[in-house]
Amino acid sequence: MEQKAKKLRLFIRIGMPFIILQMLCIGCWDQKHTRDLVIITVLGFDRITDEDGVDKWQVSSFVMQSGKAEAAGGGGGNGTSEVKPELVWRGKGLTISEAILDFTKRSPRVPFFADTSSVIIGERAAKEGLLPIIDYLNRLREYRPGAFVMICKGKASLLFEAEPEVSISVSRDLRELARNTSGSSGIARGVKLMDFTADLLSTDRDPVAPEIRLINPKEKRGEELAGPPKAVLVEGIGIFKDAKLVGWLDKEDAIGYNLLTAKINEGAITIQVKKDGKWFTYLVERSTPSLKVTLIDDKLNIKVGIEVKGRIIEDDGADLAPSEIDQIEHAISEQIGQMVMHAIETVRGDESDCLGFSEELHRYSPKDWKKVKAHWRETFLNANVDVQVNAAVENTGRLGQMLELQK
Amino acid sequence: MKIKLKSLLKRSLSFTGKKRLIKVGQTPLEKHPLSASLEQNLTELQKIFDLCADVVFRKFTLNCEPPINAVAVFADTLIDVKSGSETILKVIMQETTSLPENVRITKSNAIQILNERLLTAMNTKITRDFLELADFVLTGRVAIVIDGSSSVLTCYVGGSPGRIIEEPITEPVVRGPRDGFVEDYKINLSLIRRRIKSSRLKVELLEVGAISKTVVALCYIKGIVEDSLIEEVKTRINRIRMDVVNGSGTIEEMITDQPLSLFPLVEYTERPDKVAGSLAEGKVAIFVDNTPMTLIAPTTFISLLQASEDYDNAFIYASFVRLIRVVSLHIALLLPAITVAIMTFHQEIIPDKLMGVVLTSRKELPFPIVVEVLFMEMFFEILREAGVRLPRTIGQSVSIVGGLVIGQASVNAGFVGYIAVIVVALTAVASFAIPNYAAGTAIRILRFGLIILASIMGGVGIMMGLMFILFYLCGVRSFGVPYLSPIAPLIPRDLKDTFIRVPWWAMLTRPTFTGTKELVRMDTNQGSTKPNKGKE
Amino acid sequence: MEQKEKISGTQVSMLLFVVVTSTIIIYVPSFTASEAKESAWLAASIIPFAFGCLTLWVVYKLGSSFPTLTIFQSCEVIMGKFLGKSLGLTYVVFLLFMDVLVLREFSDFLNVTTLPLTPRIWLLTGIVVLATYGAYQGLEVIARAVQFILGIYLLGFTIVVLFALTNFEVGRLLPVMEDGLVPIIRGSIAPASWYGEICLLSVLFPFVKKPAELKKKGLIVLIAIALFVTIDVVMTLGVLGAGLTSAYTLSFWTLTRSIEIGEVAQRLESFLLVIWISGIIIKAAVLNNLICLGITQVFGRKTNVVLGIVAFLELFISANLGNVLLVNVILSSYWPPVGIVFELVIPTFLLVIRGVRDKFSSKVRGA
Repeated sequence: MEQKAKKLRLFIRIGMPFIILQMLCIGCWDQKHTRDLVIITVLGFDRITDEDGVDKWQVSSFVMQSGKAEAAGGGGGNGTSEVKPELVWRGKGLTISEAILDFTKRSPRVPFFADTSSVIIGERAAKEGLLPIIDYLNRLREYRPGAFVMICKGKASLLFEAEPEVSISVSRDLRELARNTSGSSGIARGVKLMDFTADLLSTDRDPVAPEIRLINPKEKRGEELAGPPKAVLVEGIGIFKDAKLVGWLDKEDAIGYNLLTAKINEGAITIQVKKDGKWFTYLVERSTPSLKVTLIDDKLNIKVGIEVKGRIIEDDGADLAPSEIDQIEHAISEQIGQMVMHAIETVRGDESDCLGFSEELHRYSPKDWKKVKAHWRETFLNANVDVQVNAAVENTGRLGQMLELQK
Repeated sequence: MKIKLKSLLKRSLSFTGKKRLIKVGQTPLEKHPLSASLEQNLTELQKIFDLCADVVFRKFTLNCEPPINAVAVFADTLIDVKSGSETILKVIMQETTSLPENVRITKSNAIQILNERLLTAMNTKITRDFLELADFVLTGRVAIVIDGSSSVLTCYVGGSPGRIIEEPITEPVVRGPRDGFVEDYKINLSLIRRRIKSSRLKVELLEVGAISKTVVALCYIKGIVEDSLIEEVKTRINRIRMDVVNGSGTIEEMITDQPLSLFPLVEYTERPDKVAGSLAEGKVAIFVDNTPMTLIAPTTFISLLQASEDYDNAFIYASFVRLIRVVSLHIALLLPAITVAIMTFHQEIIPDKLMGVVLTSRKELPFPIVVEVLFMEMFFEILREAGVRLPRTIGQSVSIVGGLVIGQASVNAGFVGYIAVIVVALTAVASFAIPNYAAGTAIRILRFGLIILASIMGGVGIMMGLMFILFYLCGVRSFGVPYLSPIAPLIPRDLKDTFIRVPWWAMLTRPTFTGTKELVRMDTNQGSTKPNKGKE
Repeated sequence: MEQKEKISGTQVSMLLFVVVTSTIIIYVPSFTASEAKESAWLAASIIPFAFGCLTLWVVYKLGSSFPTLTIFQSCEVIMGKFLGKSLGLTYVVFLLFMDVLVLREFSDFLNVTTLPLTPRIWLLTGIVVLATYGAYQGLEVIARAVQFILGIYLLGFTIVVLFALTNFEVGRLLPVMEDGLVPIIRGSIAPASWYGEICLLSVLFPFVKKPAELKKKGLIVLIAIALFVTIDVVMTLGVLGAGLTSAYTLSFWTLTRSIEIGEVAQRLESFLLVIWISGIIIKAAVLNNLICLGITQVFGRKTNVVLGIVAFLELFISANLGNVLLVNVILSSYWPPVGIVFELVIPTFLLVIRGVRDKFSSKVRGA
């Protein structure tokens, strides 16, 4: 008996290392080497009707080209490399996964989404099947909540013809455009997948996404084009109603939308204001919106206040004397008010609620929200909207008045 | 389980440990007294020192009436021959005339008179036993065997040739004392005694090794050190039964708590200031003859990050350096493993701008990164080993050829990628920033284990490995002191000398585990007082 | 595992803190948010905290009346041999299942987030081996390991929270208590059962050096846990919003992934992975140790064999428990009531019986 126990113990003692050794030998299930990855940097989703008449998903993608991504930046040796830094792959399928498989099957490697910095959704896809796309992305193990969501008019797949203009790859162009536009020019608004999903799921708010379009720069240096023939531009905003794309905000409206919904701290949004027949430019540096939504007798009152601070960077001979500043500020306020109001009207025209009015009501007066919850859309359409803009001119740059010729 | 593992190991090395060590060539232990006849004694001594060419029998005659024959027995390699002839032979053979008239040397009182009136040697001892006599002769004494006396006078006449005190090579400092221990334990003890001039500094001599009879000196400050600690150290040293003890490493392995521990559970140093500092913290220093490496017990994990220079440098800088060491400890242990984990499991951690570079550099490489890192680490270990063993001048060229030429060439040829080279180089540099060499070796070995774990399960594998090490280290004690103290178990008071070093005026107490007996080190409120403040 | 092991009150409190928070940190935000929406942070803090205090009080009372006995032994003293032993055994089973769930949380989390292809059994083997090793080393060692880890644990959490603050929006926490108290109470059941894990104190009691200070330290631990969890839930809600928080099963993980501050601080999820794994291994090791202790005390068997048996049992049960969804359902719906019964109801029951018997016997003695 004792002998047996001893033998058992010996067996365990010798056996355990073997089991662990076994683990070492057959291990490495999840090992994947960097060279085995298909690094997808941009995904584009489209709904298409295939030749056989079946509605299918079409997924386009930019794939980081190993060895060439840094060629332009990191001393490729040959100078201008002919190879594009990113490959374009497209695939079709009944489900999104099938579509992705349709192109990844061309390579023995594994698709890798952790560096997917932007997702472009085509117009039809945004209208018909937004939810499956977002669901798919959120379910992905490697997806980044910080990826940017973008909408394009027409087909997303066309955008994949673009070539990098500023950075070394289109994906980086796209991401930097999306990240910076809301602050720098205000003509669009970068929306992260995380926020997009949150707004989509929320009862209080409809999501928005920046619009991306293909442009054809025609600037020439000598005989040749100075840049790529096709490039991307992020301008404007696509607005949604629930999970459906319903409309677009153009450049001006986008500025209005940004001023209305976002607190801008280090902005450089320029606004052209006309006063006394002369145009001058106002640069928004900081702006703080404040919303107040009240319900009085089933009638919604929306009060929007915007505090804007900035400076004048260009004046076409407009009088900037301290005594005149009040009037100038008034003109600016008026102009911004109009832009914001126009944006609100556009949004209302599309029955979307991407401005966060219901969110405001829900958060700060939940009781009122319960009353109007059921017929919110109509209430919203009939609401009184009042926009108060308070623009302040902090300084006029290094110059006081416009430069004058003293001759 | 640990003990069983040990026995398993022993069995696998076909060493049962049951056999008692047979004391080779040792004469029986019972007393073997000298006789009164010089002839007989000489024959016996010549038998003992048969074929010992270094033992000299110098016959001479005492300058008295009637002359008495005597023999001086000594090992001429162990004594200072000049001072021996000055202090012993000269006085015995010539200066007996200077004795007062009423004192007459006879066979019976010769020893006494020599000892009390003539010999100018500082250290004399009288023995009546052959074995003791033999021991005395072999420890550098001159034995004077006189005809007609059954006792022998021995006197110590100073040192065998040894190294002079030099700057310690393994632990150089910028600021701080430059003396280092040498091989002779007496000089080493003197270096300590010079630093702690108190009778509370006790030195106990033990003898280890049946043949080598190595002197092991136990050094501690009475009243500060826990009595149980001294007892424990003594028992462990006395338990050692072996033939030859060659250095402190042997003693260290024989008295350590965990026989299979990777981490050093007994610290060694060749800096006297470090030993003195440790003694003041209530630790025990173990000097082993013939080695400059002095053992300090108990030790903790944190002491592996402490260099003796920290206590000389300004405390802010010292703390900064400590933090740097912590960082480099982590780099040395983890960086290759983390690299492997990231490159094979967690590619999403690589920023996308870097991804392009990574892709480019790894595109055409033949081996996976694990192999590369393991290969380069191995290569570096070989290089380091070669550099240590070779003479210093050749060592440099080895490192140039190995590091620069082979490294560069293997990258250019496409065997390994830049990443592996950078990582291994960083790791190597970081591992040299750990002051304790023994801890550095432990970390080097663990690094390989972690690399393999990282290649199986990525970050999770690394974390599991680290948790295993943590569980292990938490269970280890060094002479009763938890190895990870004062962090685990947490003793906030003792954190003052761990990741940072507080200024000396705030080092108010000794470490809890070794110094509770006399906890307070100094008066409080010494730091901020200005010298003139009290007078005005 | 002998009784002579002693750990200090501070060590126990740190141990309990890590044990409770390591599982809470990942799962609680989504569990509470799915019931209580924007008020999830209320659900995760106030009521569970009260529940935890109650548990602490009961367990402390029970412990201080039998300061040298674990709950397995005091069951026997109070209920008599047979009933007591069977109750002790159910406790062991309870702990075993708690442990199994912890192991499954570990393997599922890793399977979902970082190691999708690694077979679950290997992940489980890894952690079971580690936990068994920890348990073998003893409570003292685990307590020390906790002290070593706690700093890193809190540092990792703080880093994540601080960086996540850039995306934080207070408005997402509004409206407070939209639908009244009911959803909050419903949402607080799951966290309450986690807070109630402080009942492990009833087993740890005889190992503590100064049991008297446990009352105060236990309270401090509960406050610390409440703070930790509240910050956890508030951050997750404030960054992701209630909708997303309840949509993701591992919302705190998503929160860490969402951190992007320029090119410098992004992709910090590995931080979370590190602190979380260290916490969960500690938890598994503690539970393992206590289960073995329980079995030893109920059956009087030798320890090392028990360790092996427990390790095997855990591995077997946790490997065959079903898929991730099932475990999630168990965790969110079935486990909390069971937990509450074992954490609060049975100890209270024991305390009452003891009180009644004391009164009875004193009456008898008086008469």
